[in-house]
Amino acid sequence: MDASERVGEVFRESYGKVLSHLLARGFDLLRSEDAVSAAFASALTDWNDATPPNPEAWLCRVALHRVIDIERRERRITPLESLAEAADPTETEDPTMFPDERLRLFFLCTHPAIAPEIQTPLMLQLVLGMSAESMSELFLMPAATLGQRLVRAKRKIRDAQILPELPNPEEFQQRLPSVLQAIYGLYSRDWGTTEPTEAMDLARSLVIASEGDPEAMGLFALLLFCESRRAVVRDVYVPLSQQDPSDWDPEMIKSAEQLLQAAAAHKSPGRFQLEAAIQSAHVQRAFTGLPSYVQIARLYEALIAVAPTTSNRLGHVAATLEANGPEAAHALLTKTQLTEPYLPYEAVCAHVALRLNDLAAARNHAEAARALSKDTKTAAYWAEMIQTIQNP
Amino acid sequence: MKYGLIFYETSAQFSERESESAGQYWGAWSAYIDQLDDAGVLVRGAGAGLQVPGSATTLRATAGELTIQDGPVADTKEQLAGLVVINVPSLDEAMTWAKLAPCTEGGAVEVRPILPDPS
Repeated sequence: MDASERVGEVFRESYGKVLSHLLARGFDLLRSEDAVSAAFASALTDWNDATPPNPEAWLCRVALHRVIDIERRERRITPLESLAEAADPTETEDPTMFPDERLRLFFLCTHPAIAPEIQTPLMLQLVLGMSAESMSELFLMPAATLGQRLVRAKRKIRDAQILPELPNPEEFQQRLPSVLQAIYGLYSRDWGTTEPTEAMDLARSLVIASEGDPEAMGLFALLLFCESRRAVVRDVYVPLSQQDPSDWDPEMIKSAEQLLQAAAAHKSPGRFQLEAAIQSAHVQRAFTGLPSYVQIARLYEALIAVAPTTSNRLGHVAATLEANGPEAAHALLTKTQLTEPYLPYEAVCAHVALRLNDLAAARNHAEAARALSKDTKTAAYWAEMIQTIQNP
Repeated sequence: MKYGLIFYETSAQFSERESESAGQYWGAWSAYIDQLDDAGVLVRGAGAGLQVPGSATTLRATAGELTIQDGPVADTKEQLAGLVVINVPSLDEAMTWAKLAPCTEGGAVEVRPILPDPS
């Protein structure tokens, strides 16, 4: 791996950590962004021979020096900032010890003084370093427009002095759902490619920062359930129903179950608790040999009531297929409207058609699923499925 | 950090000034200003209350040609009623004070950062 590949990898994982490190020390948002970009640029040349032992600490140190330089050039250093200068981190200091700083960055982006429609793109940019170009498709907005709105939001944060602080308890509750959603998005992004340790750290800190909010515990439980099975699908795609429960990590499952129970004691169910409860029902197979699909289908009904997404509706169809048979599942599928091609939809249709013995339809949906597969593991799974349908 | 708290009132709120409840109306405003002052956040002498919008005159010039209009700049549901300047560490604190203004319910308060001292 050359320096640019190594820097690219660290960028994905560490951009938000380095930025929040500067913001937590009272530096201005726009200057901090410039300094972090400059630190990554230095890494491209300085890491040619070897990556430093702690790349994040290296980046924090270089970015901090850079932002102080920028401040000096543009105006006087204020007392708060010279304090930050004194607290210069050393090579050995580990910035990953302070996930709270990154949480504050998430909460900053959810401030009610920032337009709601720009909050998610802003989180992705400040925490993950995503550019307006790369997000333009995701938010169905021209890159130039999105870029201008991001700049406007960042200027407002600077000019109106919106500070990266955790809000008071009442505000915290209002802004928590967006932060939970962002952490879940971060986990999903990393799931298939790298170790999603960043999302796990953030979810854990959020449980602590929220003093055990049931939905924060629900999210952390959900991520632990997903993590407990990640090793199984690292190299080859295996559908959940075909995985061997003995391959799942029992420690993570135990922690997840405990969290879910603690969350349930609040008697305030929500989207993430329900998603975690569905995972828990699947995991029951590890103990009883059979998951309770009737229970899973009911949990999906409750989940759809609070989060009526296509993905949740398809989960409901898949559970109904096992609980009530293919006719019931097919009836639900006919009510599912799609606006664009979607792999999980084709996958569920293929399985339902197969159970209805409609081999032609099963093959069509499996072909569509293969065409929509974004990675070779998933494509390989569907290619094999097509083979099986042709030569049963 | 200094912020302007810019108060907007509806015509119903403005008309309270001349009604039977005028005492309550003025009492609420002076209690609010006292509260800001007692907390040490009010920048004294930097704000003012304004007379009713009907007392305003608006001037505009286009290519040297002056037009004069009887009334405020825009005929909107909420009209400018006054402003104060406060000095607090963050937008969140400025918003906390803004929420307490007598005109927030029914009318509106705009929180706007004051331009920094050019020196």
